[in-house]
Amino acid sequence: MTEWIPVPEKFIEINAKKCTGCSNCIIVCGGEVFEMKGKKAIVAHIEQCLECGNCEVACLPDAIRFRIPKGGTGIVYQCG
Amino acid sequence: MSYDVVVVGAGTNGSTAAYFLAKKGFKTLLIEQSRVPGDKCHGATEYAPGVIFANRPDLVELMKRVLKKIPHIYPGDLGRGALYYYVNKENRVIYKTHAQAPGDTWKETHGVNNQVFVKGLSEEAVKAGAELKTSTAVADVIREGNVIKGVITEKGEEIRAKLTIAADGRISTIAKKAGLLKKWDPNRCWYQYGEAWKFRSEEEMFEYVDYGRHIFFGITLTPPYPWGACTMSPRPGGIATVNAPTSWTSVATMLGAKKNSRSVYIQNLYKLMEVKRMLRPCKGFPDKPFQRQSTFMPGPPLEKPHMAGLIVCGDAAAVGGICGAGHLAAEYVIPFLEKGDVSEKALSGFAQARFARFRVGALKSDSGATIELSEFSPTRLMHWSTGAGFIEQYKCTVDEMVENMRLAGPPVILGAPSPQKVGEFGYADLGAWTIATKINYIMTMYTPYLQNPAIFPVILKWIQKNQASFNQNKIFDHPF
Repeated sequence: MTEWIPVPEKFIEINAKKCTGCSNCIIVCGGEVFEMKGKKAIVAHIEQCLECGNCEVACLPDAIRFRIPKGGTGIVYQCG
Repeated sequence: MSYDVVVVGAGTNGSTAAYFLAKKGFKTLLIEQSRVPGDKCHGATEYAPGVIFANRPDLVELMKRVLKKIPHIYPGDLGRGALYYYVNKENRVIYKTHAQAPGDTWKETHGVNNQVFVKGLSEEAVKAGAELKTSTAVADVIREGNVIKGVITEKGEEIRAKLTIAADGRISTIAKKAGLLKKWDPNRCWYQYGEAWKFRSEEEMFEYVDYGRHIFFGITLTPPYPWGACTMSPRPGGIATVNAPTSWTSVATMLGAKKNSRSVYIQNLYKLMEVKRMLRPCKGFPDKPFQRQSTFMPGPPLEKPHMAGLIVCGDAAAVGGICGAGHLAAEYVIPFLEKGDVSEKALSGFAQARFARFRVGALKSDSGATIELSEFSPTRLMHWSTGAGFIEQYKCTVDEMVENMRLAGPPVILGAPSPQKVGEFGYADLGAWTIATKINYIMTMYTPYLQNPAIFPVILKWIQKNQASFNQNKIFDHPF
């Protein structure tokens, strides 16, 4: 299975004020990182993040900020 | 610390750029976020450098040197490019065909695990004299007026360089910090999701999967579009990768599915008997893949991929191309570095130069001519290899071609290529039978376009024009 080195800070941030609860992040996330809580998206399984950045692109209200995790952390792909 | 060039991102393009710059004697630093270059790379890949970069011998030499050292297989072995399956609405394979790779190009194609290739490439850069700094994320650029003077790492370390090359991927910190990229347009980014499955051994994999790519076309494979494709490819180490290529699903389109990407993209494929049979021995099939991989191909290309002291290349500028974009960037900047001129004006030609190699048709590849597709992001996959030929044949511009891709509505071609399906194929006027006999070839060369109503008519014109020559030579086998 894919290795994940814990990332010390939040690298996906959701601005709850901007989030409209449209679920776009849930649709495009291949790692099933997001969940809905109430009517807002939350980062529920950050350790499953594939670091593709699709969530930021798909977030039409611009509520999600994705940054590259701190050096040497995050996903380590096991095979090509 | 001060360098001639700092290259951010030791992926395929960054490592290639660093290699050629260091080889030329420039003091080069290559910075990588992960612990080992390649850790973040996925999407097992097929490289055919001799075909793709035939007019760039120095790059071919470098890539082949790396490919020879690392585990690789020949997915084009057995002399064929791929096995194509056509899937109907009931998720059953109703038609199956081999597609011959053009000429002897299959001998050129190496199937590798991308991360191993990238690691090898970065090692070549180091051997050529570049310095490699890993586990280092870049937080910002050093900006003095309108000139970029280097980068600042997340630890606050300032690294100064005459020129910065940003090859830091589609989530480019540098392009954003330099103000060249705000956010990618979801309508023009191509969505991709894939998985890797692991067999107990390479032998077991070949027993079940066989050499060669398996490509499934079907109306239920990639909703919300009624037509799409999934590919399955064997890789070294008993890994089989399953990918839904990006070619016709933008991120925005994907949102129309209203369901999670995995459930719509791959699950449908796993319902097919053929796929179940092939992947059955893999642990966890079909629910727990060995690895998931997701990405998007950014687009459209950054209008301004440069400023004084900075060049943005590869995915970061949406002008990707494995190794090709990095090679081109290095080639472009070397004369200016030698003159010591990295002004805005000097680098302004890069925006055009990055497309300069985009030429020569796939149609001619049989005669050994080149296919140059790598500088242009949506066409960088082998899958899109027809792009170059299309441009040359019909004299359209790169922009027009992209516009056509973007505007592609729901495809019009449904069902399998059989004489009974004339109506559905919509080209009865051309003589469906003749066309059907050519479908092997057409599918190999024009798959993406056949599914694109904006482009399809143009291909039909090409078929019409060449019908006589099709009928004369017998190189196309009857598929039925």
